[in-house]
Amino acid sequence: MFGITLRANRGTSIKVHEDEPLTLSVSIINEAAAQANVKNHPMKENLQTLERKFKAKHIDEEEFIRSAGEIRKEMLQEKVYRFGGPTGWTSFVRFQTLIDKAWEYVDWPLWLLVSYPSSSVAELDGSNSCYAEYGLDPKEDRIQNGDIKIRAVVEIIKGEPSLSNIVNVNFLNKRMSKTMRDREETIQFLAEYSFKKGLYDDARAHVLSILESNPSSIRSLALLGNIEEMKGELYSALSTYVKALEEFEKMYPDLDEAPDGIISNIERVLELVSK
Amino acid sequence: MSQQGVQQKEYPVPVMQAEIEEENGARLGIDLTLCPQDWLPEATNKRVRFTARIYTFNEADENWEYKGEAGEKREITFEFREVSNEPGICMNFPAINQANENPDLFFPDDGYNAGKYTFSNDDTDGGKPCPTEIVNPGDNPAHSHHYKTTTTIATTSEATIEVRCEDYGAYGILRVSAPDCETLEPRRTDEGCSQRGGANDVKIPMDVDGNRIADSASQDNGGASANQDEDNNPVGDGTRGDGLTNYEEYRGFIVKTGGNKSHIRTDIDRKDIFIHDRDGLGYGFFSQSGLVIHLLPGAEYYGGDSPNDPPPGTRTTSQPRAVGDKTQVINFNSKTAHGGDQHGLRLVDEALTQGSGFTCATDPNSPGPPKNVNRVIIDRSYIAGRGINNKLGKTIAHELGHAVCLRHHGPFAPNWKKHYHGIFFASPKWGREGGRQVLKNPRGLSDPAGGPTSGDANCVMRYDNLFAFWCHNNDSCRHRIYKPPNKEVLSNLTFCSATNGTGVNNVPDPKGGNPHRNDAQRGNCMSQMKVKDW
Repeated sequence: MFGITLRANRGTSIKVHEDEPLTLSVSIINEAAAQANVKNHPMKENLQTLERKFKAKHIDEEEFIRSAGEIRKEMLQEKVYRFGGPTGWTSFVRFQTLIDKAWEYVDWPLWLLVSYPSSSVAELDGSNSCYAEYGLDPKEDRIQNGDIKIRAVVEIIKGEPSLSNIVNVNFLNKRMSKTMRDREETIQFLAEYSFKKGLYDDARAHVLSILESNPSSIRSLALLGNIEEMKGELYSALSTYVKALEEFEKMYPDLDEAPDGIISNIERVLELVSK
Repeated sequence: MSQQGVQQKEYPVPVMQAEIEEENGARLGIDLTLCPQDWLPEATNKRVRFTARIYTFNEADENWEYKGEAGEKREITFEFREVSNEPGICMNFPAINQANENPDLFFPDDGYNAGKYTFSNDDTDGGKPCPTEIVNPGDNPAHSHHYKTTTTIATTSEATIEVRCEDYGAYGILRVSAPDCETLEPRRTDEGCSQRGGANDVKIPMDVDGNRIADSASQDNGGASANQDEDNNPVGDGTRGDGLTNYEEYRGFIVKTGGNKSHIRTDIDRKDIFIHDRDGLGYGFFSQSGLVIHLLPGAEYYGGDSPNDPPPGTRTTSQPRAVGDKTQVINFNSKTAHGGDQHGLRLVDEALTQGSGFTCATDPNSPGPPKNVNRVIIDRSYIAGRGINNKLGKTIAHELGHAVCLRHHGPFAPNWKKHYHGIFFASPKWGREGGRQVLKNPRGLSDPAGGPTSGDANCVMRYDNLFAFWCHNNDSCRHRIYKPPNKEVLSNLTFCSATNGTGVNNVPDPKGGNPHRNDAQRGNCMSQMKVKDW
């Protein structure tokens, strides 16, 4: 009924060094409702056509009710689930590891980094999925080192837990090499992790170190703009976003389409500064 | 031939055999039961039985009589005159390099047949074993032979043979013979001898119209050509078909439903699209397209993922931009009635530099159909961080829409790139903030009339992130009618079927003048849709 997908640092089999954070991202899809959406679509169109005919008085009420009833009988039920509460819908997501052939819940100090929807109650229909990212700091004492298997458990319906795929995480008993630590993608990951945790100064330090060696990094510029925006440095953020836009143009001189993310950022800040 | 519940049609030119008379003068005939009318081929160890009988001709009554145990007995031989050997067991399983071409119908030497027959004419394609798991573990038990001929060990007046099927599109012609016997036309299991001389060939499954699709399957379409591809719902840009022929839709696909694998035969009237949703993104509001969406259980179910075409920000010109050779093909196990390769879509969650989604395609300005799309990228983490309700489902539908040839509601301002330069750099007022020089007189981007924010406000292909100033094609008459991003409520999302501006794009003039209406230059997204790759 529910499709639960788990990723660790956006992968399914990863290695994590001692000085590297771990992110666990979980998505929840109402598969039954999504399939019902697809199956019901032509029937919904038929219903609309029928309604138009009825309103235009091309068919009488009796025929309308009968025909609509027949169509509805063929349709699959699209069950929508609302779940959440004071602790948020994300508290319905838990993680287990495989220990001695038995799955046990973990009590790791996980941070909620991002959630979609951001409201405390989520509505799960056939078109909207739920998504949450949780982080485990590098500094935290790991429960264990070595290879472990992790899965997510989401209990939207009481007594009917839905299980995710299993991801393999190898917690290494060593720190990253200097080469790895200096890699742009590693620093970007650390910057984004810090940003999502609200540690804007740490995030800025990481991003500036990337831009020092690669001033054209669009992703880093966009993140720097986000950091500046969150710190209330709106004009700086605007300039940084425009710089990101310039770099994007240089990279894609032939692309007609405006980069929606960068432009959204600009437009959002423009609204704030115009107040 | 008249059979209960079967259209009155004739088999193609029956092969008449010379009359054979025994030394004592009695004529013998042999027939075979027809395939049950509603029997459909399935690869998961599905079996079907056929019974041959030997008759004696009663000269007085001019009638073929079955005398049971008292009748003449012979060794009876069953053989496949013709049998399909499609690669794999359906259009997308097993993987392209694991699909063998064994006969799709054969005589198993186990179960019902064991100990009653001798087997010959083993046509097993060595090297590539048959899969033992198609949908569930062990649903296609291991076997090492695919016999096409079998003979009863003992002489008998009646013999029943079991045929095993190993393909969802299997077809073949079974015939039976016995020494001294002429052949009689086949009969239904619940009927007596047909009383007509002629070939006893039996088509498996029942296929009177001869298009290699079972007559009882909806894909038979009254005997239409197996090569036909005429799906017309949704109509889209008027191109009929979804790149899958009637036979391919009938032979079917392994897909993921409710977390489990299953085999499906698809609808020949509705256009199908297959998605490999690697990261569990779901298809958002794409179901509003009216296409029948199928999720694949893994990359191997469409020939593997193509090599990554890097997303914006990291791409170099030498890297591939669309699908690789024979990858992301949904009907890769093809042979009979193949029209052309049809591609599925790869949907992934990746970090993007420029925004929420991107369709990596041969021509990013005009992506689609699926053969031109390397993958559809959604940056879920970025979207989640924006906190706009329905934005994720909308972005997924928007990018998947591009992959089936939908374009934006109108062109971006032709000078959108220069626009920001003009705004920010032409006559800038600079100030200082946090020790750095910054711009103090910014303005937002004006979307032209009929541009990407125009048209039906509920359409997922419409842009929602511009300031959306627009005008009546008159620069002196501008109206700000729309609020910037993050304030918008994305609701009732769909694909538009007109160019008319609605919602924020059709606002009454407070002074009682003409409404401020911003129709889309392109719009009518449903009429642009195209799925077919060939």
